Amino acid sequence: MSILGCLILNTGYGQWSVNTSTSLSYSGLAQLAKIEYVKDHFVFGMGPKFNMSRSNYLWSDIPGITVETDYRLKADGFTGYTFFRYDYSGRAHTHIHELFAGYGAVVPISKQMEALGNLGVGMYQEGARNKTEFRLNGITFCSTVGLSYRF
Amino acid sequence: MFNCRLVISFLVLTLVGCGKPDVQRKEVIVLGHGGAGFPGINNHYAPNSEESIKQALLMHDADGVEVDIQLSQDSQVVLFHDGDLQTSTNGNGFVSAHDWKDLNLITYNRVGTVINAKQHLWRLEDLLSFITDENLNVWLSLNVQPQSEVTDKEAYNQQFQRSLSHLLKNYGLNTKVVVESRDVANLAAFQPLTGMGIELFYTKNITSENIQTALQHDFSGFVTNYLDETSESIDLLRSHNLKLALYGVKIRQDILPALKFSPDMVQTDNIPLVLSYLGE
Repeated sequence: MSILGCLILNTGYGQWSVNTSTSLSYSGLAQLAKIEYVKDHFVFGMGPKFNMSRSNYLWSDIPGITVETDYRLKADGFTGYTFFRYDYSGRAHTHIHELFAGYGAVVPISKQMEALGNLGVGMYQEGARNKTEFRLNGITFCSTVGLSYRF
Repeated sequence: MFNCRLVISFLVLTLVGCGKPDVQRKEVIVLGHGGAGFPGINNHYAPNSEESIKQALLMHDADGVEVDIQLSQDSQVVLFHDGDLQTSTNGNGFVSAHDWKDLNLITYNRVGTVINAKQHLWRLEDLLSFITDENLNVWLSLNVQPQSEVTDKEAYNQQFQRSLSHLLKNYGLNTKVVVESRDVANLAAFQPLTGMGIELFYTKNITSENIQTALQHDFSGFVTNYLDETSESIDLLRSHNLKLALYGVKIRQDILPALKFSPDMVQTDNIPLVLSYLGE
């Protein structure tokens, strides 16, 4: 993904955007907040992931991280896109890794605002670090809806 | 104006659930319901399965688990909730109609967002062996499920008590075990286990009549849905020095009302959230 990021940055200036989305996946219901770099058909974003369904306050869990790369079929307007996403979330001595690939749609709301939704399938691994080396692995899916604001 | 609304919405969302319970972490025993909890957006494994129980004890740091127990044809104590196998597994019939060698081959149907899960039935012996091997210091609440298909209840209850006693003696777990049932005769059959330090909890809502029944049979406490109780019923229970275990604690809105009753135990479907409210 970093190679892709370099390619994007080396081919001219793109635009920055912020994205907030709600995601349901193996790790539960989470709020994602990403800063994105948009160049032509590509979007590269990353930011914190807060679990909403397992923690009392958004900040009471150790925040996770989400990294995503999208390829849009059209650079602007209503379009479909494919994505790869990696999520990490941790709590106490446990950690969850999730890796997804999927397909979504972008719906423009205004000149700068757009709504996004996607579905993906992927893998997860949940493990405990400080006790036994017990791990849970499997195949799972994710569903995400959100909003992007392009500067 | 739009930005202002956005900020206010974010603050409202993040401040939801800021209430603090009066109960301290050390005052309440947090048990996972059927392991890590029954399937939902956070729980992806079948209740009473190895995966769900290990997730509760190793990853969520629960104080223990509530598991459902039934007796197989060859007197093995099997962890299973439903009345018959076909409701949640690829098996058929009742647990009591099968030997363990057949039950061991049965897998649970898919639950949650895990696509490839093939979870098998587990025995209490497997759970006790795991706890011993890992040297875990946890609570077990054994919920004796009514096996309505059994005709000779008395013989069945006696055999169940013998099997449980044998297992608990073998694994040296003579403390921190609770046996619970909603059937008085069934629960009373486990009375010999109290000599091993095991407590018997009556699964009923709290009324004067039910308290009298519990006292007659020397039960230690009640397991009840917090929604069925009032401050008065809890005071009545406490006035008889009986203990309180609450279930029905599934979502955020359940936690504070349940903890308001200062229970000795909480059986929850969202262990991390309850621990988070208790400040852990």
